[in-house]
Parts: sequence; structure tokens; C-alpha cells
Amino acid sequence: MSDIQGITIERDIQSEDMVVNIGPQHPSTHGVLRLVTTLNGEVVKNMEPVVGYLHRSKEKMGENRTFFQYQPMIDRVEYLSAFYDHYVYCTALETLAGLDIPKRVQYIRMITMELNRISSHLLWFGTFLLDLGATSPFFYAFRDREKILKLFEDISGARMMYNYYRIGGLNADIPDGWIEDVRRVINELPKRFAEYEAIVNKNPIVMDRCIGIGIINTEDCLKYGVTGPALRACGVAQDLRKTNPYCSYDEVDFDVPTSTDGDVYARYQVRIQEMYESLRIVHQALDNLPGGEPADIRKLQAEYDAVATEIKEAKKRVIVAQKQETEPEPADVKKMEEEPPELDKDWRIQGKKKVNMVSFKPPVGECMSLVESPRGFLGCYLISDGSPKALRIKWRGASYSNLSILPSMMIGNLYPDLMAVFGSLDVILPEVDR
Amino acid sequence: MSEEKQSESKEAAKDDLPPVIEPGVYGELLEKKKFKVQHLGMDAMGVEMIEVAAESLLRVAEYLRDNKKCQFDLLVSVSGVDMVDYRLSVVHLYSLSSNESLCIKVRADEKEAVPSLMPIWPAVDWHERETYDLMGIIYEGHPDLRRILMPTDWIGHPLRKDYVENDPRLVWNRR
Amino acid sequence: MSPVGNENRVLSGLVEIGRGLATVMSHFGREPVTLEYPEVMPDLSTRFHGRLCLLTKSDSTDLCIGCKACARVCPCDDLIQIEMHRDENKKPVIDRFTIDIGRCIFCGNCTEVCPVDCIKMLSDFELADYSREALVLDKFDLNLPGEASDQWRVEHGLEKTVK
Ligand code: SF4
Ligand code: SF4
Repeated sequence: MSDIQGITIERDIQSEDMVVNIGPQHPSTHGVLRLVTTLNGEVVKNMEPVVGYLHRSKEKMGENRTFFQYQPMIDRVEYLSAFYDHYVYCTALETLAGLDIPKRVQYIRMITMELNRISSHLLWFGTFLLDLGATSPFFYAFRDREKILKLFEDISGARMMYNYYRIGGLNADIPDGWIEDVRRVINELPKRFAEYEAIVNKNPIVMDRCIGIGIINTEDCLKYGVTGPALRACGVAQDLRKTNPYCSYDEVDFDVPTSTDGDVYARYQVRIQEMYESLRIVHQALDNLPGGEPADIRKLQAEYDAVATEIKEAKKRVIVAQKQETEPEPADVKKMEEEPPELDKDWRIQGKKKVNMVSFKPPVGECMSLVESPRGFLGCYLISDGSPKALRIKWRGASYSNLSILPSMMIGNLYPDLMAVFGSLDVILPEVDR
Repeated sequence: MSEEKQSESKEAAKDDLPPVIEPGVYGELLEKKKFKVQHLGMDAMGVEMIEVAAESLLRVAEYLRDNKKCQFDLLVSVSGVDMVDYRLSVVHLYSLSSNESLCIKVRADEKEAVPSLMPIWPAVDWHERETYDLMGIIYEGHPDLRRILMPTDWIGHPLRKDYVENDPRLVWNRR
Repeated sequence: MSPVGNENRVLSGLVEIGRGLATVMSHFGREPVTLEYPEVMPDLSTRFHGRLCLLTKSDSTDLCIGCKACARVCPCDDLIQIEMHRDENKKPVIDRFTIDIGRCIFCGNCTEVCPVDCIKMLSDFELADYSREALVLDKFDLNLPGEASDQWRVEHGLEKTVK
């Protein structure tokens, strides 16, 4: 007799083990994942994930394309939070080349990344509950995610494959009225989150299926290299935004939600809390955005340009006067010595040295940039030999390590828990296979 | 005059030895403990890099994991790098207690072999399988070294610089 | 579990399910968020990455100077193919300009590097066709007439007339 989660299994009725292939095409695997599972009745005896169905050789692609050509490919490494991928790639190259990034760029990057975290968590929320059998949250989550995607479409022109960050800056400034749109959306979202929590938090079915299921502790996480919300749900407040601040995260105020239970429900709660924290960051970043509305910057720039042209013309007149050997006008001479005013360099969307994207060559060197993506540590290890193509680009996806813990979580547990446990890890297969 | 100067400086540059690399915090610690390490300086992000010989890798790794001053408990990634003449296995570590990173490089020998880090960080399991699959580095002591991303009947290791694309030995390339 | 505990569980469960249902029901009175797509077109942003086009001068003559910068930055091999020669006045003449929309990933790299703002993107996203050959657009399909080009430039804040 074995006793698993209060269910007693009689040895007598047991016959031989059954091998079940879950996937590759399975609605609950969010991608193409095959789980070769050995079942003893309802109990998982062994499980082996088979990955690689979505392997698109993104790392090899990076070695035979120039840095600018490779940029659209990065979106496809992890398409639910592509801003993060672009961020690690651009930071790796920027630190290699020693470029300094204007504050406005950093803030816009921060806003887009945090909105991206919300949209990614919303998709996880919808599909996770769909796996558990709840249909309405799926529609609600997608409805709200759509609003965020619309913001991304306004800023970058695409809903998922943004290709918006550039080495040393951004592709274009934010469009007019975008800040207002973002404010409208993020003021509305807390009400929506409250709705989700009303439906899901105390729902007896969700609680029965989530509490006490798929428990892991910190040692397990370290043993398998699990990071992100799954690690934070074990009580470790590990968040690269706090511990190794990048971008401008040290200038905003936010908390790192944790939980100590380490089960499916704890991971759910950590992610929901994270969305509130992301909203806080977006609020602060919008308030402190250097330069503010793009229209204001344009106006100021036009004024400065007018002054600069005046000075230039004064210079010309003085030179003409000197050639003709007449006395130049004193007003012109005075004007000539003025310095043309410059826009605050924190307000630009490209660094001081404008990078020529087409022929960009970083110096020889290497760099591992790490950020906290919605799923955990996302890293890009980049080695450059000084040519316009990388010697090696390695993607460290959080999902890759997070998926490897699944067998140890499932062995000895009931098969019906599989989808709850797997869903709670928030694995995205394109990132696993690259 | 200026030409002379230029030629002089050129000669001086030729004679210049590679710049002396200051040992980092962890490199120094390891050297004090009589481990043989080669300092590689910092990478662009300020992460210390060291190169370790394959024989002493496991002992160094154990020290880095267990010593109070290091405590590198989280393995971030393992990447294989093809330097054309030789291949490197690059391990990135992170410490949850000190929030520091470290990068260890190991050179693969002629048989492309490197000791596996499985006994120290079990998290390397899939990472080493991936590096074997894509770069062909053999991790000695890995219990289950198989291909992970490519199909099991694939020929060659795609991330190597000498990899032949559209290999005619593969059935699907014979059109 | 004691019967009392069970009763409590059932009761609180019913209350919670009732709360969830009330939230769901509250959606009945709300405005629908979906679009009746073929009848109602979505409101796309001006930066939308849609079908590629070649803007022309205001008199509908070619703007492209055949520098092939767009072909060089495109992440896909040989997707943009350009053949050009120079006439007796050293003016560039584009003989052939084809884009294989079927392989294009609509990244927008090409639109960024064009020195004369010629290759640009429209908000046209309905590109399905019956054959792959039909997806290879040539200069005739790509060129936007002068008036439409002017309008495009006005909408996107560029100089209106290009001579
Ligand atoms: S949009 Fe991208 S893929 Fe398409 S033609 Fe331009 S550069 Fe090439
Ligand atoms: S970059 Fe512009 S001008 Fe140059 S070939 Fe392409 S479309 Fe023509």
C-alpha cells in the first residue's frame, strides 16, 4: 500500500506501468514539448521532457549576421517578453562598446519592459487557469493584454516582434499622446486585477488544485537552477532589479513580493503581486520621464535650432565683412561668440555618439548581461572579435532551467496535477529550444 | 621628425608584452589556497573571469561553492565557445548571498573532453547536454550525455566554426 | 475531516463561487471589446509594420537611388533584389526591384536605413494570395503613386514634396 496525498492505492489492482506520451502537440504545453511519462495508475513514476522541437538555431544565426541584421531575430527567441531579449542584447553590446545611454532612453526602456512583464504575466494567468479548467479568466486576461499590446503597437509598430531598442538608444521617440494612453491603461488595470483575484483567489476548486501541490524549496531551486517567480515563491527575495540594479531600477521604488510556501498557489500569488509592483514602477517612471512629452522636446529643439541658425548667420555676415575689409556690426560679433544652446543630453533618444547601425563594430571583448525577465534570469553571453559579426552569442533562457525541475516535481505525484504544476512554472518553449 | 616618432612608437607597440592582468577577488582567494588559476581580468560588465585547468576544475568548483567568502550556489549557464584552434567551456556562476557573478573558463583537451560539474552543481545537467549537442564538448562524468536540442540522429555539432551546413550525409539534405 | 469542518468548507466555497459568478455576471452590461473584423477595420498606428512600398516623387517618378542599403540590412538572404544602371546623365535607373513578401518578417530594418526615405511600410496587413509567386512584389506593385506618397509623407511628418 502506498499513500499519496491521502489517496490509498491497493497493490492488488496494480498491473504493469504505462508509458504515455504527453505532447508534442498538446494544448496545455504552450508550445511543442513532449513529456514521456511512465504512469502507475494515476501516479507518475518517471518523466522525461523531450525538448528541441522548436529549435531554430538562433545562436548560429547570430554568428552569420551583422549585429543590426540579427536584431529582428532576437524577438523570436522569447516572443512573449521580447523587450527583455532586446534589452540584454543591446546592453551587452553597449557595455562592450562603452556607450552611455541617455536617461530618457533608460526610462522608456523601463516603462516598456515593465508593461511587457505585465502582458507576459497576464498571458500566463489566462492560460494557467485555462489549464485548470476555468475559461472566463482567459478571456479577461487577453482583453487586458490586448490594451498593452496596443500601446506597444503605437510605439514600435508591432504587437509582439517589436525590434524597437537600438544599440545606444531607441528606434524612434515615443509617439505623441502615448504617455496619456499608458496612464489610462495603468489606471484601469488595478480594477481588472481585483476582478481576477475575486474570481480566482479563494475559489475552492483553484485552492484544492493549487495549495500543497508541486512544493519545492530553495535547495531544489538551486539544484536545478530555477530562478524568477518560482524561486521567490520559496522565500528568497532574489530579484536582479533590486540586487544588481540595471537600467534605472535603482531610481524607482518597488518591493519584491515573496511567499514561503513554494507550492503552485504561492507562485500564482507572487506573479499577481508582481504585476501590481510593475504598475508602481511604470507610474513612477512616467512621472519622472526626462523630457516628458515628445511634443515639448520638439518645440524646445526648434527654438534652439532657431538660435543656432541665427548665430551661424551672424558668423557668415562677419566673415563677409572681414573679406570686404569693412567693420562688422558689433551686434553680429557679439552674437558670434555665443554658444548655441543644446538640448539636455538626458533627453535624447540616441547617445551622444550616434551609432551607425549598419557598420557597428564593438571592440574585442566579451560580456554576460543578465536581467530579470518575467520568467527569471535572462542572459546573453556575447563574444566579439572586433568584426561586424559576433563570434558567439549564447542565450541563457530562464525557461530552460525552470523546465528541468519538472520531472523531480512530478515523480511520485498524481498525473492530474501535471498541468497545474507545469503551468505554474510559466515555461515558454521557444525560449527553451531557441 | 614626426615619421620617426611614429615608427618608434610602432616598434614600442610591437615590443609591448600583453598588459599584466590584475588578479580579481576570487582569483586571489583561489591562488592563496594554492589552486592553479589563470586570471583573465574583468569582462565588460565587471564580472571576474578565471581560467582553470581541467584537472583542478572540480576542486576549484567545490571550493567556490562551499567557501564562506564565495558561495556561488547558482549556476547560470554553461556555454561552449569555438576559438577555432581549441574549444572553451564557459561556466557562469551567481551567488545568491553576495549577488556577485563569476566566470570560469575551461579549455577542452585534444579529445574535446572536460570534466562534468554534475557533482558540484546538478543544475548543469541540461546545460552540459546542450553544449555537447551544439559544440561537441564531451563532459566526462556526466551520467546522461545525449543530444538535447538537435535530433538524435544528427551529424556534427552545429555551433562549431567548421560545421558543414546542409550536410549531404543527412537524409533530408539529399534532394 | 470532521463534519463541521466540511460544512464550513462547503459554505465558504459556495460563497466564493458566488462571488466569482457575480464578477462574471457584471460583465453582461459592459461594452464589447471585440471588433467585427471584416466590416470594422482595426485602428492601426501610423508606425504599423505592414506591407512594404516604395514612395515616389510627387510626379510619380522613382525616388529610389539604387544604393542597396535596404538589401544589405535585411536579415533574410536575397529577399530584396535590385538591379540598376546609370543613364547618360549618371542618374540611377532602377531596372528591377523585387521584394518577396512571403519571406519578409516585417521587421522594418530596411525602412530605417534608406537614405532617401523611399522604402516604407503601409498599414496594409491583408496580404494573402493564391500562389507563392504572387507574393513576390515587383516595382510596379511596390511603387506608391505620387499623390499617395505625398499623403504618406504628411501623415508621418516628413517633408511633403520631394523633387
Ligand atoms: S521588413 Fe525586414 S525582412 Fe522585410 S524586407 Fe525589410 S528588412 Fe527584409
Ligand atoms: S535603401 Fe532606399 S534608395 Fe537604397 S536601394 Fe533601398 S529603397 Fe532604394
